This record gives sequence, C-alpha cells and structure tokens, in this order.
Amino acid sequence: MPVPTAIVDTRHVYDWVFGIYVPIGIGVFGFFTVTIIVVTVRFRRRDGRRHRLAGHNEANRLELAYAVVLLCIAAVLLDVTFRAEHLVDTASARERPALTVDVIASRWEWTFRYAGHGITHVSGAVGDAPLVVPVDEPVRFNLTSRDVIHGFWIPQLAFKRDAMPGTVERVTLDFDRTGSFSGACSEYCGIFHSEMVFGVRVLPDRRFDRWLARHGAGPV
Amino acid sequence: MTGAVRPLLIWLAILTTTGTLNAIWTGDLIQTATFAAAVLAVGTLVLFQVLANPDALRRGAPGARGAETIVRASAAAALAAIGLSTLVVGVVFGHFLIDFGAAVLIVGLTRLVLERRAQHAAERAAAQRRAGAEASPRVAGRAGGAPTGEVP
Amino acid sequence: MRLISTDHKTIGINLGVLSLFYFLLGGLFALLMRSQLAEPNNQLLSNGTYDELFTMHGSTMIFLFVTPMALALALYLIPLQIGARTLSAPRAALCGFWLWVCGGLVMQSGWFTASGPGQDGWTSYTPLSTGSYTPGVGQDLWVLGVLLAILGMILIAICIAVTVARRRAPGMTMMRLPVFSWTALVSVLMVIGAFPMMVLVMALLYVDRLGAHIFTGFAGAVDYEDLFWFFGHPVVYVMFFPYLGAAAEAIAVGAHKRWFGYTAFVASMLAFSVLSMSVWGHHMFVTGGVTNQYFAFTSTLLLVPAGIEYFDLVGTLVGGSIVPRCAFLFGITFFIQFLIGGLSGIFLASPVLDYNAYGSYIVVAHFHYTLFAGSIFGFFAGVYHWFPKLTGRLLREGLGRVHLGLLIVGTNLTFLPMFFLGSDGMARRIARYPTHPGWAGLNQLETAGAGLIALAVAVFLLNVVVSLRRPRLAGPDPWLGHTLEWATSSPPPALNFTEPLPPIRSYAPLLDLREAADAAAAADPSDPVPVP
Repeated sequence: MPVPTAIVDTRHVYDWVFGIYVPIGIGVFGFFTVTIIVVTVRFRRRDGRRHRLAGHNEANRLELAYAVVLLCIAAVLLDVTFRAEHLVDTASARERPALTVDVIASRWEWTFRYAGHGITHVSGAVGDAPLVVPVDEPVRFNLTSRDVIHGFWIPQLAFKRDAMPGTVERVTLDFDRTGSFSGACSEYCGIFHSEMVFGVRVLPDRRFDRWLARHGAGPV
Repeated sequence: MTGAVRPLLIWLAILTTTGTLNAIWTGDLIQTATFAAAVLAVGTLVLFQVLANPDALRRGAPGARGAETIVRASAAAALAAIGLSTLVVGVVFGHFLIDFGAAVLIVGLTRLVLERRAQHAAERAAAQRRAGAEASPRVAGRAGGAPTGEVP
Repeated sequence: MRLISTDHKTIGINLGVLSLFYFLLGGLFALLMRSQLAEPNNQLLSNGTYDELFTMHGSTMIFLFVTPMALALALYLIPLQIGARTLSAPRAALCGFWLWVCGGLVMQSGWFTASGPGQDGWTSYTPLSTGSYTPGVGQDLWVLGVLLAILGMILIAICIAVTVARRRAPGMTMMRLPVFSWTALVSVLMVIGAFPMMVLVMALLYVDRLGAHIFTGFAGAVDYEDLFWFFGHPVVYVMFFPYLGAAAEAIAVGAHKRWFGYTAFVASMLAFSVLSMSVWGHHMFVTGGVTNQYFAFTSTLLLVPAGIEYFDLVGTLVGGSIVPRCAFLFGITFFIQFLIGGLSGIFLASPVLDYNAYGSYIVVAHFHYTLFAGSIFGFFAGVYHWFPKLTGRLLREGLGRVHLGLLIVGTNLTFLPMFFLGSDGMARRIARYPTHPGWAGLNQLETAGAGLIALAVAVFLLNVVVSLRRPRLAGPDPWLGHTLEWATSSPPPALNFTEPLPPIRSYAPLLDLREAADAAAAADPSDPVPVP
C-alpha cells in the first residue's frame, strides 16, 4: 500500500495503517507463540533430570537493549499513526467542500439536511431515506445530536465520529466509489439503538447533480 | 517498615511526569485535575507511612518484628458497612431506610471505637507485662515472637 | 463467625467465592445474549431485556468478579508471601468486604424492580444515563451499587498496601517481594489512585439524576467520559496485573526455575501501571473532546513494558526443567491468548484505526481477549496453583486438561469471529442484526463457542467438587514452590506460620534452600543432602 500523501479518503488511510500494524502484530504473535511452545517442549523434564543449577536469572543489559528495540517499534508505529491522523483530521478539514450536509442525530433517527437545497432525509427507526453524496468530492458534515451521544459510522469509509449534544462537530469525508453502503449508530443510545441505521448512496457527479435538482427546492 | 515507600515514590514520580506531559500537551484542565487527584491519593498513603514510621524511607531489610495484636473478628466493621449501605439505598427508597441505616451505622461506628479502645488497653497491658518480664531471658529471647494481646 | 472474621484468609476466601458466584451469573447473562444473537433478527429477547443483559453482564464481570477476585487473591496470598501473620487494619478490610457485598446486592436488586436493572452499559454515559433518558429505580440502584462496591474495594486495597509496607518478615526487602505480590501491589496502588474518582462520578451522576443537571451539554458529556475513564481504564489493568502475577508464579514453579529478570520485571511493572493510568483518553478518540495524539502516544508506549513481560517469560522457560501441569499450562496459555488482546490494543491505540474499530465488535473482541482470554486463564492458572494451599487438596489433573482444552477452543471460537464482524461493520450493543452476508454464520460460531466455554466452566466446577469429595491430600508444598506460602501447612493455620520462617535472601526463598542443598550434594556426591 503506497504512502498516502495527498488528500485521499479515510478508507485508503485506514488500509495503509492497517497494512502496517496488522502484519507486525501477526508476526509478533506468531514469533512469541512459536517460541513459547518450542521452548516449553525443548525444556520439558525428562528422566527426572533437574535443571542446571543457578542459571542466569537476570540479563539487565539485554533487557535494556530489548526495551530500546521496543521503543523503536513504538516510534515507527507512532510516526505512521501521527501522519495518518494528520491526513484524516487536519488536512481534510482544509479542503473546500463541494457539498455540506447537516447530520442531526436523535433517538433513534438520522436527519440529513442539505442546507441550501431544501432537502431533508430521515433514516433510522422511522424512515429509510438514505444519505446521498457525490463520488470523489469532499463532503462536509456538520454533526450534532438532539439528545444523547450517538455515533455516525460509515464502515465503508472506515470512519466514525460521535454526534454529541450541545456542539457541532465538522468532518470532511471523501467517497471514492459509487454504490450503496450502510451506516450505523456506533454509540449505544437506548432501546432502539440497533435500528438507528442509514443507507449511503454514492452517485457519480452528473447523477448527483440531477438528483439534487429533482429533489431539491433549488438554491435558496 | 524499612524501604516500604521507596518504590511508591518512584511510582509517584513517573505519574507526575506523565501528568505534566499531559498538561503541556493537552492543556486540558479536567485531565490535569484527575492526574493531581491520583497523585494526591497515593501521596497521602505515602505520607501516612512515613509519618507512622520514618524508617519507611530508609534503604535496607525490615528487622525483627515487635509484638502485634491479633484481631480475630469484628461485628462492628460489618455492621458499619451494612449501615452505610442501607443509608445510601435509603436515598432511593425513602426515610425509613435512611434513619434505620444511620442508626445501624452509628451503632457500628460506636462499637468500632469501643473495640479499638479495648484493643489499645490490651496492648498497653501486654507492653507492661513485657517490660516487667524484661529480666527473664526466656521471654526476652522471643523478640518478634508470639502475639501478645488478644481482642475478640 | 466466618462472615465477621478479620483473618485475611477468611475474608479472601469469602470475597473469592462470592466473586466466583458472580462469574457464573455474569456468564449466564452472556449465554442469554449469545442465544439472542444466534440468528439474524431474532425475537427471543426484547430490546430492553438485551440492553439490561449486556449492561449487567459487563457490570457483574467487572465490578463483582474480575476486580474483586484480583483483590481476593491479593488478600489471601500477600500476607503469606511476605511472611506476615495478619493484615494491617483488618477491620477496614472486613468493612470493605461488606460494602462490596452490599454494593453487589444493591446493583443486582434492580432485576426485581419494575424498571429493570441498569440498562446503559457498564459505562453509563451521560446524558443517556441521566434522569431524562433513563428514569427508574433500577438505574438508581445500579449507580449506588457501583458506588458502594467501589468504596469497599478501595478500603481493601488500602489494607493490602499498608500490609505490604508494615508487615513484611525480617529480611523481606521490597526487592525480595514475590512476583505475584508485586503485581498485586501495583494494582492496589492503581485502585487507591483511580477508584476514588469513580465514587465521585457515581455520586455526581446520582445527584444529576435527581435533577441537578451536572453533566449537561457537550462539556458535561465529555467531562463524564473523562472522569469515568480515568477510573475505567486503570480498572482494566487492576483486572490484569494480579492474574499476570499468578500465571508467572505458576510458570516459574512449573519450570522449577525462578522467574527470570526480576529487576527488569519490577521496573516494568512500575512503569506499566503508571502508564496505564495515563492512557484513558484512547476511549474518547471519536468524541472530538480530547487530544488524541497524547493518548495515542502513551497507549502505544505500553508495548514496551508489556514486551518485557514476554521476554521474562521466555527467559524463565529457557533452561528450565518443565513439568507441564495444569497450572503451568493455564499460565502459558494466558500469555499466548493475552497476546491477541494486547496486540489488538496497540492497533486500537492508533486513532485512525480506532475511528473504524470504536463501538464495533472489533473492540468487543479486543477486550474479551484481554479480560477473558487473558485474565481468566491467569485466574485459572492461579486456581490450579493455589487450590492445594487453600484447601489442602489437589485438583484432578485429567479434568483440568479437559477444562483447559475446552476453554481454549471455546474462547477462540467465541471471540475470534468478532474481529471479522467488527471489520465488516457490526456495531456492539445491538440487540439484533439484519441479514447480512456472512454475519449469521460467524454469530452462530460465537454462540457455539459460548456454549463450549460454559461446558469448560462446568468441567472446572466438577473438578472442584470431585477433588473436595474424594480428596487427594496436597501436603504443605506439592509443587516445590518458591515463595513463603509453601512453607506452611495447607490450609495455613490461623496465624499463617507455626515454624520459624526460612531465611529470606531473594524473591524465591524456598528455591534458595533447595538450590543450596543441591549445590552441597553436587560438591559432595558421596553424601547426598536431602532436598527439603
């Protein structure tokens, strides 16, 4: 996975970091599991033989060197993480959004309001009008909640942000492929939490403009 | 006892470091306050240890132990806990439980004070017995030995 | 008398046995949840019942089983390991035990109210848990029950910390404390440092529920999370360190070799425990209310002390003379299984990865690999290791191996698929899920795995019953133990030791004696010295 340098969608950044963390994790797991099992089998007691007396009980220099290696691994992981977080949280916020959608969470529905276009879609326990967005364009979301904490999660984008009462959280997201995806509330919010889901339809530019023209009341 | 608080001081020093780093990096007042609360709580424990026994700061192994009082059971401690719990639940269910819980708590705490006083009296009596028997080598040789006073 | 005894062994056993009962209760809740999730759109349980079950499952396991069980082990073992006859401030420990008992009863009594028990998750985030959104007596009882249980555990922790400070036997320096005692000591420091915050938070939440509106708006919600997780993350490590210590003791004794790298281990435990008090904000990466980089930094650094423990584990095994009894096998399984939880924790410490994983089944998989696949295996290592000390009877090895095998298969069958479900977009704490390709099959695997875990626990209980009914006597030291609890009878007498203690020159005084005898025998083979 190439290092993302320009603004790309959150899924790409996630896959990049995932592609570094997970192989390292699986490698470490495999190494220690195999080592523990091999060493256990190798040093099983046979024929009543006792272990050799007073072997090495400490190796503080070796442990120190090992700790330094661990610190280096931590440094590499943090470098990757900080660069990725910069892309997702800071750089994306500087993009000029092609579209702004107000997302208002409440128990147990999502209201997507296309400010300036007169469109309001509601999804969740009582509706299923999806979030409709254009492909490959930065979309600004203004997240808020009318009551408790909800979580605005689009697994396809590998991204979520809490919708909190009393504040408006701004996030800018890119959708890199067309199609229909699902979204869900990721913060437990009460009895119909599992029904607080929504659909995401990502349209090509032209079709999105047509959709906007057909459903909207036009620019206000 | 000797050396007891030295690792605790290291622990506090690392916590102060991560807390200070947090204050600089985040500037978040609530988080700084929580760090301070933790340092305060464990710091208080350390302080009490040092005040009770200045040896706690010194390096080295603990030496022979003096006599100690054996407490076998305490109805008062259980009673106090049950009283406090009843009182707290009473906040939900109303006055009767609050009053009842408070009464049990007071009885428990009073008995706790009485138990402690009886224990201290027994300890003093035992210390006097020991002082009186100091001349006897057989008893003096039992430093760090059997418990002295017993408080049921 | 047993219930008001101030003997540390009696309080420890009372606390442990009651905790074990709550383990079964919390496990029952889990089985009901898994039954509901066995099918997509299942109508077995109502949403409300499911919410109560996951809330009470988490609360029961955390506040009433894993944490108090860690303290129960410490209460029972620390005075023995440091050569003390009694606990310092034993009345406070007894008072703490009773507060915890009452707290548990108050929390569970919510089941008998019309509004049901707590239902906002073990985290009970505001504003959801305030009076406006969760009215009802059940949630009130949950808040107060947690408050009392936490208060009780603080008292017990203080007694343990003071006992370590005041009651060590002559010669027992801090750098000769056994490995388990160290892990328990740093845990009680964390209890003393972090738990009072939870008492405060629960009191404030209760006052808020009365209508005072303390946690309102954005700031209120973030403040609650901050204060809650300041307790909520350290408690996770209180539920981990003592079991790490138990596994380490079982492994070292099983390998007939002292735990390797003691100095580095102690240093890393000090760093580990403090660092784990500085990472709580990683639970709040998606709130937009904390400085994510600081918490990503501290959380990722945890891999350094954790790595040291694994180094020491391998060092202990190398050159050993390993007799793989159940305690030893549970011990190494603890380390292998926990590795999945620990490594997925480093994954979650990266904010961009957490932006996807947070609130999903990835997180559920992660913390069950730390707390169930980790702590519980360490707990059972401790049980197989110390059961003979507590009762004077040996547990059956054969049944123990069946228990271990079933538990390994059941655990991984239950929790491994959760990583894939979470990656595929399944949110946690949902009472039902839609038909989605692959989800039904993975969920059915998990439900089957949960059944296997239940079977494994049943085998364990059977083992306990059989071993008590048809006793095989253990004697004072069945494993050639390293630490002072093996220098007294099983179970130990009222004041722990009747014989004079052996000289304490290291963290494994009994092993010192045996090695000295071996060395003497090697020097003069014609005159074998009996191994004590």
